[in-house]
Amino acid sequence: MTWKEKHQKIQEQKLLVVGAGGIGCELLKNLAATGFRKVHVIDLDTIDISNLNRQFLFRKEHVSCSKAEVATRVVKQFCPAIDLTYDHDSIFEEKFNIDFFKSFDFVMNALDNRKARNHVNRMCHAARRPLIESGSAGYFGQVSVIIREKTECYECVEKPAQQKTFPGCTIRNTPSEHIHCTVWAKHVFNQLFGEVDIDDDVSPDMKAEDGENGDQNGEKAPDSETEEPAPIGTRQWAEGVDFDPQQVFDKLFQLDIEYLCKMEHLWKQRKQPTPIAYSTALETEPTPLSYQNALKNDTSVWTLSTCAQVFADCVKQLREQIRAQPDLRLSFEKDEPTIMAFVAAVANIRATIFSIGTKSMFEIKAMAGNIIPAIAATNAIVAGMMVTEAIKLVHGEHEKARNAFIRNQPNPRGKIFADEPPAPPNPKCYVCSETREVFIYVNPTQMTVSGLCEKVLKSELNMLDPDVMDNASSRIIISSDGDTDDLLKKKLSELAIEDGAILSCDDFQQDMVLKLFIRRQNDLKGDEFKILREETDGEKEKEEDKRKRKPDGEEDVEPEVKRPKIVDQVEVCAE
Amino acid sequence: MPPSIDSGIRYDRQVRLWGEEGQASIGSASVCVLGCDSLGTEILKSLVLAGVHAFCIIDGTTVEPSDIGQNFFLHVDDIGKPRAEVVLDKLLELNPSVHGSISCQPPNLLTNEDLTTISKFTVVVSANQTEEVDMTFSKALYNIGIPLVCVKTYGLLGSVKICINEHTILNTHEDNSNPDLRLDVPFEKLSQLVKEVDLNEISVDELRHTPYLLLYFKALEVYRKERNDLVAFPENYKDRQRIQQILKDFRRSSEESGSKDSENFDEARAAVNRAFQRTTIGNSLKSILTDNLCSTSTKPFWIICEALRQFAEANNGLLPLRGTLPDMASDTNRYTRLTTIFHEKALVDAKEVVQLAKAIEKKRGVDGIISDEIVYRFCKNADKILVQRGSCLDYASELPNVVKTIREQFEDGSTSGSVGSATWVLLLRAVERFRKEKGRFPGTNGVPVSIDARDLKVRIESLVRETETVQQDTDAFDQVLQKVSDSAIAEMCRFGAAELHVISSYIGGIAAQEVIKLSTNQYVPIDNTFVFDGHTQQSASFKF
Repeated sequence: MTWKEKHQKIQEQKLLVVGAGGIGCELLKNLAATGFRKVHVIDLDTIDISNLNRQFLFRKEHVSCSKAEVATRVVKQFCPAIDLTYDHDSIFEEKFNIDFFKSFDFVMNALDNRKARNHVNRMCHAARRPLIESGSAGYFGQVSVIIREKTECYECVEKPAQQKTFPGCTIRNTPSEHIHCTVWAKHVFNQLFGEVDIDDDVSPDMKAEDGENGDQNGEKAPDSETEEPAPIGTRQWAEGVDFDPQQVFDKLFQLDIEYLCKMEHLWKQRKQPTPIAYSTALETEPTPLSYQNALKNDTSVWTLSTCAQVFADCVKQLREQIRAQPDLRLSFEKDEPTIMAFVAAVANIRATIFSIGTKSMFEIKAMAGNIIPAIAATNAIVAGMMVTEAIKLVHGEHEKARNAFIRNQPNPRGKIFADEPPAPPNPKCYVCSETREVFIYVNPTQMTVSGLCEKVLKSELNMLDPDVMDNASSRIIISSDGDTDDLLKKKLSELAIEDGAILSCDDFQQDMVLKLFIRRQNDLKGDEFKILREETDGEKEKEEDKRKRKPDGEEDVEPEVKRPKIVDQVEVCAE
Repeated sequence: MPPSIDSGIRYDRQVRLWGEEGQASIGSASVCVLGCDSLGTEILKSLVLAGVHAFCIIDGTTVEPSDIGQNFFLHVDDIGKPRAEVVLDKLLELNPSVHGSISCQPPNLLTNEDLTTISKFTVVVSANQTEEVDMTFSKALYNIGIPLVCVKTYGLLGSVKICINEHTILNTHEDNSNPDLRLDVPFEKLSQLVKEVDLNEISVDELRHTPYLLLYFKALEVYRKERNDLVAFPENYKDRQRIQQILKDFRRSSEESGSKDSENFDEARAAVNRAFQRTTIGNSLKSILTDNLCSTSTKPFWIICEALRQFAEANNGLLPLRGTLPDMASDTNRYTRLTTIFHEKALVDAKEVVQLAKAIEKKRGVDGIISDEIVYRFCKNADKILVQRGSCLDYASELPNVVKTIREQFEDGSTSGSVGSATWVLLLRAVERFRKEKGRFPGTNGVPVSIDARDLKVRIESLVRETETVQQDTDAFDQVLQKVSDSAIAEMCRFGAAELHVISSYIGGIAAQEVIKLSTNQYVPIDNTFVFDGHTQQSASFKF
């Protein structure tokens, strides 16, 4: 093929870019400058100030505009020849179905969260379109190429959990680390101003056994109904007191803590928390900083009085927003100063109560927002690697495809860049293999159909809208059109789904059918479950397999690059 | 003055990488870039976004049709305008707080007088300049301690070379050090706390919530008793196995569960090998502290190193306590006490280092250049400081090294079939010689590729012949030439010095990362040559 023919081919390619953020901006620039002419970009997000340190297509005046729209407009200004179109929409929308994906030659991901990556992976698998996947974190960046039946898919290797989850009782009753207080503070925010999630209860958990020690002494929490505080922290309650900062403060930090103190078994081995009233907190030395000054000092640790002051000011500001729009449900947004300051103040007040060291708002923001550092230079490198791979795909040079990494640090041999051929597909992958099997341990007498649907299929396995059939009885237990909603509250055992049952789970949009093998484990409570994606010996074989492909001593790859662990670039959904 | 809230949010995602101190360094850095082709512009783009204080472009060309498309920021309407001017405008839009300036003088025509003004820059970047320009600037910068980053792209190839006399790193961010627990040399308050604990007296619950550091000290007591040696310390694997056994014997079961397992003992077992290490000064740090510059330099880095050295001398060879502890399963109370005494001791040590540093400052006549804060950070990261040294750029004198590396590539045989990274370095040098002698790049001006390929090969041969090792060893010449395949030579002619935007993006990103590492004195920059081959994605780093 001559150089001209090659260029012609690049111009004719139709490709889909998912994400117009950090990597997306660089990628669109590189595609335009390389001669790609038919590109469609999808992004749900709007522009924020914290994007401007790297998303160079955006300016301050674009803040809160659609990323996809602005990126498209700006790229076209620089490169009028490109036919660049966009959707300001979620990639999970039904209109982005398999036929939509099939209308492109290949797909490039510039995403920041695993859920969307999983989804695009499945859509590309179903539509038989190659996918170039990417991610970056600080100085580290990586790119991998995913081709059906030739390489590993994004989900072939299980990735470590992104977010540590904590037992509810630790959050509600016995925090021992600052992160517990931060999680609780976010829950308080949601309860007061946001969307209420039943799992986000912030009040003392009366029925709780001691999470760490077990309820060894058989001692019960003070159980008379009169003593039990009304479900507090809820929006209705707060509206009842007109979001009066003092009353909300005293409820959260004095009354509830006093109640917790009465659950004596909790404090046998722990230091008992110290209730704090609003008036006391405000009067502690030194005099509090004003809200504005506190925000300016976000890297120093606020005193208790400053926390109380910030708390009160934030509650008042957020109350105004709600008064203006009574049905408004705010959502936690780490870059919204009022919201972040509220969460930081609440977390630190709670930490003080439980004798846990307090932290600066800057640090709390990292924990609350699950923030991954991001810089322009690394994204430029990643986008460069992506287009290098794209050119190979255009010319059908699939055998030349490489997964590539830029390291945080030079390795002992001074190398900062590493590459390896993509691994072959995992024959037991539940997404891209023929078998598509998942083994799951549950307690069938406790797990509900709704728990199975929401927590296992949607949340853990990232299905969008599954239909589920019990293979033994051929009964449909979950239907995407809502026919089976009366079954949602039933326990699995009530539907005769017990140890050994096999469920066929079918997601129409992702064109994915998998078999879910139910195993019983009696010590699991409620909707708790454990999942096994594949047998462990399969894992070992693959490790050995990988070693064989490496020339001895040639590559001193860090563990992090041994498997395609795409790190989520920014703004991972922590909620 | 604390940064405004707005700029706090703008830089939030990167401050989480290099900290406020890193952002402050970037915010006061001035970068000079020679040449604003696609590569130079890409480098500047990342630096402007990161928030450097100022940048200066030195570029004497006007915008050509060939720039359009390659340099994303340039538009057809810009053709004929001074390139530096157009690029400056586009870059300033990216970040209103950054200052920019230009000089439309071509870098190769700068006078010696012009060169003296470059001393105000923090870093100078040479983007696709000739070897003469690179070397002229290196000569001017090397002695005044300003880093020069020479970046080149040629078709699908790219290289980054860092030339610097001495680069000091305050925090490598490498996390391979053992925790600083002082098991062998506990400080007073720590010994006291250990003494207060009697594992036999406390309840099973309390035992299970005893932080493992205390378990270690107790195990060490038993260990010493067994050996009848008050200062015995496990030195090898076998000794540490004994500690493991002692720890195991400490465990007690509760009445109900019957199990002896608990989290703190699990943690203790897992950390024994890393934790039971003598408190010593690592070799790399030792060589820094014994460097002559400690006793003479007026640079903050070396003054603090001298203060550290004096501290260690006065404290039985110990460094200041790092003061941070790993997470440990524990009741809040005892863990808080432990962290508090570690923190307090670290502060006391660091204050001593501050005093020493201030005295040295005074003695060397540079009062007040060191803040307490930087000393505190230094003490905390003392195991993560590093010094890199390099030489003034001289392409002729590094050639033997390039040739030697190519020969070594030949020996291990692992890269047979493909072109080794060092070979590309040689080819880039031959191309440069071709350009210098013929005034054009191979593969341009409509000259048949086969003719230029032959001419290029002649230059490769003469370059190799010029190296001493080859002059003494005739086989060596053939060995090296064998590594330079005809197809690789043809490839160089095919490029015809074309810029590919993808390569500019990639190499420009790497160069920008390096400039930031150099100006923040954090993370470890490339030492000193990076070569990338876009055909195969192969890359390598060399010290030439």
